[in-house]
Amino acid sequence: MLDRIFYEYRLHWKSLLLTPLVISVLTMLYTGVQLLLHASPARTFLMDIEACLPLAASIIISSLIAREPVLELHMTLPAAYRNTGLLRLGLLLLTFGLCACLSLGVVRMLDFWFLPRFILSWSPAAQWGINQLIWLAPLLWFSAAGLCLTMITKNSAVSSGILAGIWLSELVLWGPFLNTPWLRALYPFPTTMWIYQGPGISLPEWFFDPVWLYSRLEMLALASGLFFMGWLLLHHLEGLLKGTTAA
Amino acid sequence: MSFSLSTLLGVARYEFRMQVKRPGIWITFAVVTFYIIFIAMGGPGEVSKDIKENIAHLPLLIYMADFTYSVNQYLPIFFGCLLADRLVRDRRLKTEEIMNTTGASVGTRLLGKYFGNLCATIVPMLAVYAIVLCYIVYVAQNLMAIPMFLLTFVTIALPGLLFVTAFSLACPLFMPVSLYMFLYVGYWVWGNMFLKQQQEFSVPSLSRTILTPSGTFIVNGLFNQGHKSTLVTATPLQAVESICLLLCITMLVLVGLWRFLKWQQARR
Repeated sequence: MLDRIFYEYRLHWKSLLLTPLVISVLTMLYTGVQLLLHASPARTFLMDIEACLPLAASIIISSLIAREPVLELHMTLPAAYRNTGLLRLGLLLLTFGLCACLSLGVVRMLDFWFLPRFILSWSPAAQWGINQLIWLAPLLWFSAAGLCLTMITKNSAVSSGILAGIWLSELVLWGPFLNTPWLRALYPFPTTMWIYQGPGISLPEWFFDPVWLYSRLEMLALASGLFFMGWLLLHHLEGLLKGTTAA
Repeated sequence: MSFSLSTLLGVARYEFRMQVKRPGIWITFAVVTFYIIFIAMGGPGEVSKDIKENIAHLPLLIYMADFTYSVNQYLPIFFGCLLADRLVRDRRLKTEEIMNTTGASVGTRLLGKYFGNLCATIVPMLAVYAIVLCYIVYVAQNLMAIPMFLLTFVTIALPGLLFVTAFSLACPLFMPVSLYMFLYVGYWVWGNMFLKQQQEFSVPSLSRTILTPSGTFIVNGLFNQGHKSTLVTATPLQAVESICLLLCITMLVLVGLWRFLKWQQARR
C-alpha cells in the first residue's frame, strides 16, 4: 500500500504537492509585503487557510478524477477505478489538510487567534480541536462538491468553473447567508467574513454558536453526504469516459 | 505560410462552433447565475426590487453602466476556467502536428483560436445579460436600454474580456491547467474586488489601478464618477487610459505567445 501511495504522489506531484507549495509561497510573499506596509497579515493567513486551500483542492480533484488518460484501461482492470479515485482524493485531502493544519499552527505560534477570545479559557486540546474546524469544514465541503460536480458534468473545466463562480459569489455576497439561518451551513468562510473582526474584537458566545459552530458541524454533515453521493457516482465510469473524450 | 484573412475567418468560425456547442459552457453560466440570483442575492424578488429602485432614481444610461459593471465582476471568472484548456488540448489530442502540416500559419491559427473562443464564450454571457435586460426594458418601458447596454458592454466589459482571454490561452502552456485556474480566480479577486478594504486589511492590489479588467476605472470615468460600490473616482481620461492599457497588454501577450509557438515549431 505504501508503494502505491508513493507511486500516486510521484504521478501527481504537481497537483498534490506543487499547488499547496505555490499557495504557501504566495501567501508568505504577500504577508511579507503587508508587513513592510505596516498592515496586519492576519486576514491574509485566514483567507489562505479557510478560502484558498479549499478552492484549490476542489479544482485539483476535478482535474484528477476527470482527466485520467488511461480510463479505458482502468475499466478492464480488477482494481476498480473508484478505489483509485478515492485513494487520490484521500491523498489530496491529507496533503491539503496537513498544509492547512501546519499553517494554522505556525500562525497560532505567531500569536494570531481568529476565534472569539472566550475559547482561550478552554483546555488546549479543545482549543486545538475547534481551531481545526476553520479549515476542515470548507475543505471537505469543497472537495466533496468538486467530486460530485465532476462526476455529474463529466468535465473538469465546467466543474471548476461552477465552483469558482460559487466561491467568488459567496466571498462577495455574504449578506443573505448571514441573515438566513438555513443558508449558513452552505457558507464556507464564516471565520474570515463574520467572526474575525480584528485583533482586539471578540464576539459573544450567543452569536458564535449558531453562526459558526453549528453551521460548521452542519457543513461537515453535508460534506459527508456529498462524499457518499460522489462514491456512488464513481461507479458510473462509462459516463466519465464519454465526458473525457468530448471535452 | 503567410497571413490570410479567409484562413483566419475559417479557423475562428471552426473554433467558435467547437466552443459554443460545448454544453459545459452553457451549464456553467446557467448554474452559477441561478445560484447567484436565487441564493447569494436573496432571490429574484430582491433582484427585482433593486432594479426597480435603481431605475427610479438613476438616469437610464448610468444604470445600464452600473448593471453591466456589476455583472462583469462575476461572469469573466468563467473565461479563465473554460478557455484554459483550449491551446493545451491541441497538444494533448496530438492535433497540433496535423495543423502544422496545413497551409495556415501559427499566427493565423492562434488569432483564429483567440477570436473564435472569445466570441463563443461571450455568447452565454450575453444570454445571461439578455435575460435581465428584458426585465429592465419591461420595468423602464424604454427600448433605448438595449443600445445603451451594447455601448456599455463594449466599453466596460469587452476590454477586460479581451485581456483575460489572451492570458487564459497563454498561461496554461507554462503551468498545469488546474493551477492556472486557481491562480486566475485568486487574481480576479485580488485584482478587481479589493476596493472597499479596511485599513487593517490594506494590501497592495491592482484593484485600485487602471489595470482592472472588470472595468472599475472605465465605469467611473466614462459613465458614473464615484460609482457607489467602488469607492474609486476616475476621470474620462483615466478611463480611456484603462481601455488602452488593457488592449496593449492583450496585444503584447498575443505577440509573445505567437513568438513562443513559432519558436517551439522551429525547434521540432
